Amino acid sequence: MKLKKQTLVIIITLLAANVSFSQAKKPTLMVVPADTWCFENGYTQTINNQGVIKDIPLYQMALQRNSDLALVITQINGLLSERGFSAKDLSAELKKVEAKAAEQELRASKNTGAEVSETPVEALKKTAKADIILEMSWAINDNGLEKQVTFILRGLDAYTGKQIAETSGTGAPDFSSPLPLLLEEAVSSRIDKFLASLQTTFDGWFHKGREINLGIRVWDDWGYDLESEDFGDDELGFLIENWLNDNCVNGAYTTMDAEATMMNFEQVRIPMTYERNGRIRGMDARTWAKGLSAYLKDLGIINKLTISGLGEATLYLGSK
Amino acid sequence: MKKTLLFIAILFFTVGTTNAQSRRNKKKADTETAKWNYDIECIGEAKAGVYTLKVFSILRDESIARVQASKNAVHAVIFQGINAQGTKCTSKPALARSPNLETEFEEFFNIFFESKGKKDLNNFSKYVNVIDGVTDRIKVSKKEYRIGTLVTVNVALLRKTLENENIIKSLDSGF
Repeated sequence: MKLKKQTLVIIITLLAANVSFSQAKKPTLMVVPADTWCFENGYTQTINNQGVIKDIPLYQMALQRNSDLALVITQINGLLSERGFSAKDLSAELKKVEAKAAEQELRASKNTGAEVSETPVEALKKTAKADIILEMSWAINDNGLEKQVTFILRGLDAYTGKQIAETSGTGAPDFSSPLPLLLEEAVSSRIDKFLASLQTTFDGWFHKGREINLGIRVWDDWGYDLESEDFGDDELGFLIENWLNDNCVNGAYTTMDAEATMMNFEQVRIPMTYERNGRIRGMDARTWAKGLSAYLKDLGIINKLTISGLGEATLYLGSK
Repeated sequence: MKKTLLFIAILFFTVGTTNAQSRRNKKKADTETAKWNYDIECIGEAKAGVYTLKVFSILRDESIARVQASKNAVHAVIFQGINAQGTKCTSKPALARSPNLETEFEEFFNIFFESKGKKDLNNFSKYVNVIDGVTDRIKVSKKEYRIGTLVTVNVALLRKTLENENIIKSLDSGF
């Protein structure tokens, strides 16, 4: 009996601890080689995208043929893991991309039979759903006697496209160390600066809110549009902007496009957490945009909410 | 009998002198610590999370150079950050995210940097390894010397400790 009571006390304590430590949603990270690095090392494919010739990086080929790349990715992943972030593995994510690509190949336009145009980078970002892409590249300056490594590591917010952390520089000239050692040194000597700038960004998120993108679209069979004045004392577009003013952290957002059938908002600052039934939970674009969806529903507008990762939400007005 | 008494007296005198010397050294070290009078030069980073630094401490007494250099190195890593040194060393940001950290946690850092005698097994010394106690020695004034000391600082371990003590935030705090 006594043991049962003790077990109960332990369970209650653990539950209470869980409630008090519920926190903001952790962004996912993934290390990828930069396009320029892929191009310089020949891991690209030239494609004709509707008349436009361009080079696209082949990550799979790069991983299979360049052992230094795997070394650098593994080292960065390890250092991130030491600091509490488990980065997604590029090669594992590429396998998901392959599966997705197979599905995409079967898709064609109803009218013209045209295939969907998508670069592997877009596909990667879409499938991997990493919130932050760590893009790195290096170049070797070899004068025949000494070698020097120039290393660049950038953190890109996948949804806003903004550079949120960076470090770069050229190491000391070396005539004896092998390249893997020079690369290892380049990463270890720069990672602290990089993670410090990443932490500054995270601090900014907690202070000013997480930046997301929001899109509003209208189904073409809906009888209204964003200029309709049937839902309140102003046009629907302005009613939506009023809601954003009230619900963004410090009312911060930027209206990028405002047309009759679509609106795009960027730099929309949403809180990192919210409270529900006395519990603090992590906020993401979907949870936050659900509030707008409910508001529109109250106005009598049926809508559909879709998301892309933690940081991008789109609302389709008119039907589900 | 007389001999025994003499021996005991000499023994007490020796122990007393050693203790007094030790106290004087501690006092000297703490006085020098309060000044934080030093310069840091980055030598390199042998592996991730371990910095190799050359500390130039301005001191009146060379005997406390090792201890003082250790304190100064840890102090610089926590509060000042390390400047870049050409191509051999990149700049290292300070572990402190706030410029007021030292005053906010004054009590903690007073204990952290306290000298406890010759061996100085206090907190700060756990993170420093003195490679060369005196590499340079320049007389800068009538009584003061600029003494160079080569040390390594285990920044990864130091960061972990400060995070666990809730002095600084970890990268994943809040998530």
